[in-house]
Amino acid sequence: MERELVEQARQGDRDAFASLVHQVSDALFAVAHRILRDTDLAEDALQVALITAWRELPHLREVDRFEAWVHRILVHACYAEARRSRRWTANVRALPVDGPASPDAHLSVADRDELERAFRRLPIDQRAVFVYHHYLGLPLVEIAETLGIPAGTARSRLHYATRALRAAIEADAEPVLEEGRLA
Amino acid sequence: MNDERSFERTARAWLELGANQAPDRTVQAVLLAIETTPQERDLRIPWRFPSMNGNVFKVAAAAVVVVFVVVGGLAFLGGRQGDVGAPPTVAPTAQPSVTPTSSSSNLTPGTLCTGFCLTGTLDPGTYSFEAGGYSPVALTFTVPAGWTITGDGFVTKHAEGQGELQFSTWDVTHVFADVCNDSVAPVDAGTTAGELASVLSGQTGHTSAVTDVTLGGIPAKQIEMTLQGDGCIEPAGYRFWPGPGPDLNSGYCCMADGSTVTASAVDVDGKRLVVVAYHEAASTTADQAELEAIVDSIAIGDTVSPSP
Repeated sequence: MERELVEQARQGDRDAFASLVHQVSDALFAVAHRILRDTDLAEDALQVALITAWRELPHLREVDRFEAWVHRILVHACYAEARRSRRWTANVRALPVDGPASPDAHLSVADRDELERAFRRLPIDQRAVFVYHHYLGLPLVEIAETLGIPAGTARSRLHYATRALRAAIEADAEPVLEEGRLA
Repeated sequence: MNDERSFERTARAWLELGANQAPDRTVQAVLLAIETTPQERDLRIPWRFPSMNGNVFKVAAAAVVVVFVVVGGLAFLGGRQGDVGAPPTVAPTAQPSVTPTSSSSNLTPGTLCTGFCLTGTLDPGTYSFEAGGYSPVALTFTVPAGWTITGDGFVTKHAEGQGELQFSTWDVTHVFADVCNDSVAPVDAGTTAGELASVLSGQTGHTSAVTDVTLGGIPAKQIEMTLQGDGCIEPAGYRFWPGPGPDLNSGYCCMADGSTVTASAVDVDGKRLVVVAYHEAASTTADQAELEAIVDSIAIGDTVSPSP
């Protein structure tokens, strides 16, 4: 991420912000899509996040942290989208595959279906930590910093999400997850 | 799927599936919107993340732009927006307003938690939790500057650094006999403050002391527990109790070694409220005094008092 672009956008340069949008939108959308499991919701979350980022940019004090900052805004937008739509609780269809075409040796169709069902039943904040950890590969400390939560909270959410997803694969009859809390 | 690495490989392979490109229409909509959306500089206009229906989002986005333009214009003309500048009073149905900051939201006094909790930095003042969700009874409390709240209902300070402190409320039905072992079924914690004090003081993994105190003017049992030894459960750490039920997929956990958990239990109209004050060994005396003052400020019941 070019610091100069962020600084220019922060000063109100719309072209600079447009460049930033082109740089970050794919990654943000991919994350939103994986958290929300719904293309329409992910599109809305992305729009809200980017427009919010534009409005709020003058208040960003650490220009170097633009990317983490906009991810935090995105996750809050995902929370808002999830709150206003409970479609995921009943919708257990598999997402259309738009990623790697070749089947992965570690992912059977049964595993994929079980993960999909179990993931949709996770609280949205647990989903976010799981996606940031396993999809983006961020360490927990960095996730906590990005999401603005205590490291222990990130650890706890990952723990509960992992436990639920593992259980879903190992046994179909696992109970529905409720909110995970931590200190 | 019989080991951790196998699960991680499977999870990562599964997460690789899915869309990787933002649709052009979405990006174009954003670029179009920012052409007419002013940046917030000195206007300090309260805002929230939208909660509008997705089907009307695209249409409503245009209305939002108009509102910001109009409100921005009014602000420039010295006008004030409806309840934006209302005095910070607390009412049972009050909703905190959100003002923009560098990277998080500022919340002003009002109700923080209903079925879920708002997140953000708390302006000094009196806040409330409604009954249900994260607190079995309604209550209010007052915080000084420098505290934030997480979506999990933790009112916290120094969450991202050394010496973290927390205030939280709980409905505890079971506790783990050993805070370092959640593989054994949790034990029933009874229904009264005295019964909870008994089972918590019997937990292994911490040193504890039980005293009689008052919480919100009501007699309560206070159990101060200081954690011993090294972290004992990976990746979650110490674990005191599961969610009510018990729900083994949630609960109170993950404290730092050497930290102190002070649980105050009070019986209120047949329900047991547990208030937890947590601080790490590195927490300063001044911060601990702030945490203690927050707990001391608790008023229990549906009636909320005005903010200072």
